[in-house]
Amino acid sequence: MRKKRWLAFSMTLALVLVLAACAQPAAPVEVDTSGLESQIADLEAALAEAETAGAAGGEDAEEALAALQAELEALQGQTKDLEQGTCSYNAYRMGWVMDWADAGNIVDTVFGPTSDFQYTFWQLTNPDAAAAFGDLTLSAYNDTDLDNRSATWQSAEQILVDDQVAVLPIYHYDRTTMVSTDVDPLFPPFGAPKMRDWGTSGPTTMSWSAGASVPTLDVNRATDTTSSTVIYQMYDAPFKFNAEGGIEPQAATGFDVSDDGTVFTVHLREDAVWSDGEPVLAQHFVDGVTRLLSPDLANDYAYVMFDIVDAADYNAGDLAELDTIKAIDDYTFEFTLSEPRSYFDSILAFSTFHPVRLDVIEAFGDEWTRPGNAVSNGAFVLTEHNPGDNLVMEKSESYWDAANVPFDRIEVAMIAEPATSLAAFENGEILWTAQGSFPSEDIPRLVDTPEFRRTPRPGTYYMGLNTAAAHTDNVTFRKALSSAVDRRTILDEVAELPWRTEATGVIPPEIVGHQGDAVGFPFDVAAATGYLDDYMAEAGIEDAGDIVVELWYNKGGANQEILEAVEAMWESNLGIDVRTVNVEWATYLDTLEECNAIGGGGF
Amino acid sequence: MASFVANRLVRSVVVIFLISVVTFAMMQLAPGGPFSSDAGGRPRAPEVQARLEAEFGLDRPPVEQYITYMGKLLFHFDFGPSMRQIDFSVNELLFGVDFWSDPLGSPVLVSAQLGLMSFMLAVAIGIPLGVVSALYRNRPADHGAMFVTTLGISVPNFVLGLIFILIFSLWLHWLPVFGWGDDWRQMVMPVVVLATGGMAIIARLTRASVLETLGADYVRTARAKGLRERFVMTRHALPNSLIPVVTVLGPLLAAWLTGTFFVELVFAIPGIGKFFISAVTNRDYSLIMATIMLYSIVLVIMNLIVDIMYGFLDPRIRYD
Repeated sequence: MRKKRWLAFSMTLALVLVLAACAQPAAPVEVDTSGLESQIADLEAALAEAETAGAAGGEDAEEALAALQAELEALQGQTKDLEQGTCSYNAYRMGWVMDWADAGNIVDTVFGPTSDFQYTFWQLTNPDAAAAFGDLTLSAYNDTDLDNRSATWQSAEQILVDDQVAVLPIYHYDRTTMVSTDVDPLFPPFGAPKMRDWGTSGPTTMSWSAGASVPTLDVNRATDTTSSTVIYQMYDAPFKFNAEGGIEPQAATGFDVSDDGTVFTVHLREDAVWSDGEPVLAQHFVDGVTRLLSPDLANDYAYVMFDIVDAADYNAGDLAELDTIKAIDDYTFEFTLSEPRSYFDSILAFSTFHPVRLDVIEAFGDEWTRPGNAVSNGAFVLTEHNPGDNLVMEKSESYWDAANVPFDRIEVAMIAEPATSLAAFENGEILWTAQGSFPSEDIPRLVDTPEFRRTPRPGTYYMGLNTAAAHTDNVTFRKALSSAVDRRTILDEVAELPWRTEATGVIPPEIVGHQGDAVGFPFDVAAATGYLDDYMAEAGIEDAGDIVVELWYNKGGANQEILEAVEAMWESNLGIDVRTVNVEWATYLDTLEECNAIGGGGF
Repeated sequence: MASFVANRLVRSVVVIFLISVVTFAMMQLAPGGPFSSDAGGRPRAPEVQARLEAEFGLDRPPVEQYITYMGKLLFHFDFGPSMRQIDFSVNELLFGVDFWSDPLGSPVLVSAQLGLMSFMLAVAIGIPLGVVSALYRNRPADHGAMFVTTLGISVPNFVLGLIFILIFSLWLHWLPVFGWGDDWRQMVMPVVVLATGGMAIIARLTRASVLETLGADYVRTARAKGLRERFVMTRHALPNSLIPVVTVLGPLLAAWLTGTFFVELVFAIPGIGKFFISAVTNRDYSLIMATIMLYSIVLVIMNLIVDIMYGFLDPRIRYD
């Protein structure tokens, strides 16, 4: 190339690259508050001095004190505003799969004022609503009548979705997976399925694909589906979930609740034996809960048991011992709740009640979960574990119901790539694609095959709206945003999951209390533009294009397609300017959690 | 020669040390940590996060963390605990749970096996292909070979892998879809897929290099002296034309020995390739450091071997 042309070409290339770099959405910017912070530190010192002086002095000293305090609060407020400026998102995407069949598990656990899992700040911007919500929550938890408490949860949901519009639900989850027609699966809506309850018309070896690795087999530390799917084969909790989401006896034969609803007494089977021959005793279940709450371990699910008297204090390290859960005799244990809790029967089927053998943990230390060391009270024993490669379990001969366990062997292959997992299934190398998603492009051709199974898995895919950020701090604008999203189109055309249910509320259809269209803001362009006009009149904005809304989401799954569809809908139906920011999961979560900490958080 | 090697080794140690410092700094600076979300990806309560960070020593100042880490590594060859797969240490993840009783099952050796076999296949086919192309330049054989190699470089390993799975597993049922170590048939597709990309590069490079060498003066002299064509090729032209190829082969083998991400992902091969990406995504600090250090060491050793090979290939190069 001639020199001039070469020069022109390289300059153009450089220009294009620079433009491309500028077009990237800016990551949240670090704000320098050090100047303000040093001022605050000086003020605090002065305040401390004034307080000690003021103890002796009179009115003047008190006035000076009040003035200093006012100045301090103003500066702190400024710092907070500045820092919150980095939390510039107006909407963020999230999802939640429920753990048991009570509406509180999503309405309060996720969106409640004290939740660590929401980043909308609605409890700070609307403290009265939060207080009302708190009262409803408390009355629902104490209420043992299902219909009554469902009505209470519905009122709470209304505060959240109708009055505050802090959440913009999009759709409800279900479980879609491929299972060979040679086995007859049973998928309870909560928790992991138990192979011992499946049927088989031939194969005695069950095989499935897990993700890239099993994070942990420690029953008190595991929270993810991959680990749970293995753990649930090895351990039996007192109860288990059935296909309808109710509980059935498993390691226990039954339980009683005292009249005031706070004391639970659980009766265990007397013929259950661990895989090393030791009988399964009530003490082992008590040890499981105590270890879950241990202040020396960092267990994510400890909070589930905080309704037990003293449990939270014990977990924080303020108590030396926990005696509100104890074994009455070899086959009975009892625990006391601080107040009656309507959902606690479901927790008896949850992983927090898996038993542990402290003697095994002590003998093997950090290696107690390895094959050969771990003992099971469930149908299968761990015989091989090659991290990142595979895991093998075999039927436990000492299991009390071994005669009815359909499989002799379970092989878990660790396959990280969904396409490979699906290919392995179609080639007959595995019988169940437990691995999770398969490529959405394959769904249309798989939907009508007999191996394609759809079972309930209550949960909701939603967007949270930042009630402290510009524009979304106005409830009318939030209503406009919610009414402008065509959820049906997203499900049918964008995500290609036409059988899933659109969500205008957060309580899923399988849970008592689901309100369907009666709550929230369904798709209605006329209503959306109406709300937008009201907001613009109120805020004195003339051109909708002046409203800039930031939408944050994490890469992965169909998020990009779905959130870009939402962006397109907002822009075309409302005429506002939408910017999307997408980052990978760890960064995304970290940024949201930092915002929560700055904003005063939910805790 | 000995002083050359010693000199290079000392410099390599310095390079590896610098790499470890830079990696450590970068991963501490990246937003997020190993414990910001739980293993299922759900958000984690701050108190739990704080406790986990204390348990793994992440609440200490970074310099202290680095010194503790390097101390454990240098004195005990202990890469530390994995912060994501908390039941295992990084040594167990990389070298296998029971290395001494089942060495071939060790992920490092699985990746090395895959890498070595693909390397040998790529070299065994790539170099002769390049030579043939050069000798029959601009004839159909050359065009054919170059077309195939271009295809090999352009089609990503991932796509090629899935196509192979479709044809050989799902349609023909000749080969299994995934796995390694149970059946020799599991090795066929991954090795071939990985080799195609490298084979293409090697063939092109060999071709260019041989063409250049064939035009050199000393080759003309050898022919003028009446030596047989075959002798001219094997004794004079080929060794010299391999020098640029060897330059590329060294780092290529280093990259393949330490595991390749896409091939291992598509065929679910239990090697260490996936750790390079998953460790960063999960912010598993000890695993990140271990994989980077491992790769640096292998790369540095391979470069040293390449430099020594020059001495054998080119008589003009001497190291004393």
